[in-house]
Amino acid sequence: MAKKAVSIIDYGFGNVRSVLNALEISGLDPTVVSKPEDVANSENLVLPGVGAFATAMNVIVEKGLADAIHESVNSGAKVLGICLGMQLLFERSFEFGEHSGLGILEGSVGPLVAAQDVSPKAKSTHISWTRVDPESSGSLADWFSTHDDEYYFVHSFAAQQVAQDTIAGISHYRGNPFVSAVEKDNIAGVQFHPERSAEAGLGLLSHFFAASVE
Amino acid sequence: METATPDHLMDTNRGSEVAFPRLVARLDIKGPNVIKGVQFEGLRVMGDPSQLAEHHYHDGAQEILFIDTVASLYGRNNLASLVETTVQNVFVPLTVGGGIRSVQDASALLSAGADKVALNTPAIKRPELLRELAEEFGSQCVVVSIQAKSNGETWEALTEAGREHSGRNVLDWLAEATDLGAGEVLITSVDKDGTGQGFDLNLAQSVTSVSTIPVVVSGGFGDVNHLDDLLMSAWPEAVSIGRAAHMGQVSFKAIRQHFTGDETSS
Repeated sequence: MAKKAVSIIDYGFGNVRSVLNALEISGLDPTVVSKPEDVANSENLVLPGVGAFATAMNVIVEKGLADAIHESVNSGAKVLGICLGMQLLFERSFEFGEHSGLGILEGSVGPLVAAQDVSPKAKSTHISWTRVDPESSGSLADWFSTHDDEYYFVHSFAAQQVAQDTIAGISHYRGNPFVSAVEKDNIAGVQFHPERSAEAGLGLLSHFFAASVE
Repeated sequence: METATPDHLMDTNRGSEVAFPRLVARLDIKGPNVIKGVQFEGLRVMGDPSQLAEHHYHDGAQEILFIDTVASLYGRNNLASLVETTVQNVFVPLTVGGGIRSVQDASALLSAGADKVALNTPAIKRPELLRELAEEFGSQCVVVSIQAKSNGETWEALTEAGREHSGRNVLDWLAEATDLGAGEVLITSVDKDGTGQGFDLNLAQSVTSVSTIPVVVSGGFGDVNHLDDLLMSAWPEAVSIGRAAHMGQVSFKAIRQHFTGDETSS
C-alpha cells in the first residue's frame, strides 16, 4: 500500500524538519511545500508554527498562503494545525493587540491563565508534558480516549470561545482547563507538539492522517 | 504509590495544580563524544552523543540537552550535523548549547532541528544577544544557561564551562536575562555537577522562588532520592540528569514510575 502523502507548509515559523521526520517515521510520505499552488493542491496538510501570531499571519497572507489554505480546506483536504498553527485556524487572536486569523474555525486566542497562583509562581510560558482529556467525538477524541498519555506543550496563549462541538481535547494549566485539541470535519488542531511528544505523538499523526478519507 | 511530593503540589495532571517537572537528559559534548566531568573537571568519555540521546529517548527522557563544553573556548560550533542526525531518531524536544554567538549560529542549529538554544558565556559577554535571539525566534527558543558557583551566601555565574569567573550574581543575572527575553533558565550547580551527591537545594529554591520563566535544575542527581529531596524544597519545571543516566545507574522510566506510579507512559 502506498504511503499517504502529507504536505507540511513551510512559511518560516516552526520546526519543519522535526515535523518532517516525525511524519516519515509515522509511516506517512511527507513533503515540504511553500508555494500557494502546492498548498492548494494538497490532500493532507500540516500547518506547523512557533512564534508570534501576528507576524506569522502576516507572512501567510503576504505569501498568498491564506487563500491557498482556504482553497485546500474547501476542496476537502485534511488539515492539522500544530501549536501556533492551530491558533491560526481561529477567527482572531488577542496576542499583543487584536489580529485576524484564518477564520476556518470558530473561536479566538487569548492569554493562558493559571487558576490559582500556587507556589512557585506562575511562569510566562507553560512548558510541560500534560494529558489530554477527550471531548465529544471524532478522530482526535478517539485517539485521546484510547491513549491516555502525556503530550509536550510549550505556549503562552490558548484557544478560547471555541464552538463546543469542535472541542476534541481539554488539558489543564495550573488548575485551569483550556482547549488543547479541536476538530471539525476535515480540520483539526492540537496545541501541543505531536512531533515532539514521543510515541504517543507519532501515533496520533499516523492515526489522524491514515483515517482521512481517500 | 508512596511519594515525597508535598500535598499542595501533588500532581495528577487532571485539573490539579502544577505539572510534574520534565525529565531532561543532559549530554555534555567534547569533540565527537559525550563526556562527563566531576565539577566540570576530570572529564571522561561516555559515548557517542546521538546514540546516547536515542537511548535516553527510548528510555523515557522527555527532552535532550546537548552542551558543547569546549565550543566557547575554541570559538567554534560543530553541533549542527550532530543535531541533524539526532533528530531523525529522537522525537522529544532538543536543546543545544555551546558556542552560540550570533543569530546566525542559533539559526543554523534551529534549522538543523533543534527546538531551543542555550547560552552561557556569549550571553554574559554580550547580554543584548539574548534580546536579538528572542526577537528573531521568540522567547520560547531562548534558554539562558547559568553555571552557579556558591560563594557562601550567594552564587556567582561562571563562564567557559565553569572555568572562568564573571563576577555576576546569579539571581541578578537571571533577572537581567529574563528582561532581555530569555524564555527559560538552565541553572547548573558547579559545586554539585557530576558528583551524584544531590542537587544544590538552596540554589534550586532561590532560583525557583524568584524566577518568572520556567526553570531547569541541573547538577548533582545521583539517585531518585535526590529528586525527592529537591521536590520537597523546590518545584522547577524541569530537572536535568546526566552522568547517573549515562552510566546506567538510573533509568528515566524508573524515575517516572517512582513519582507517578504510571506503568504505561512513554
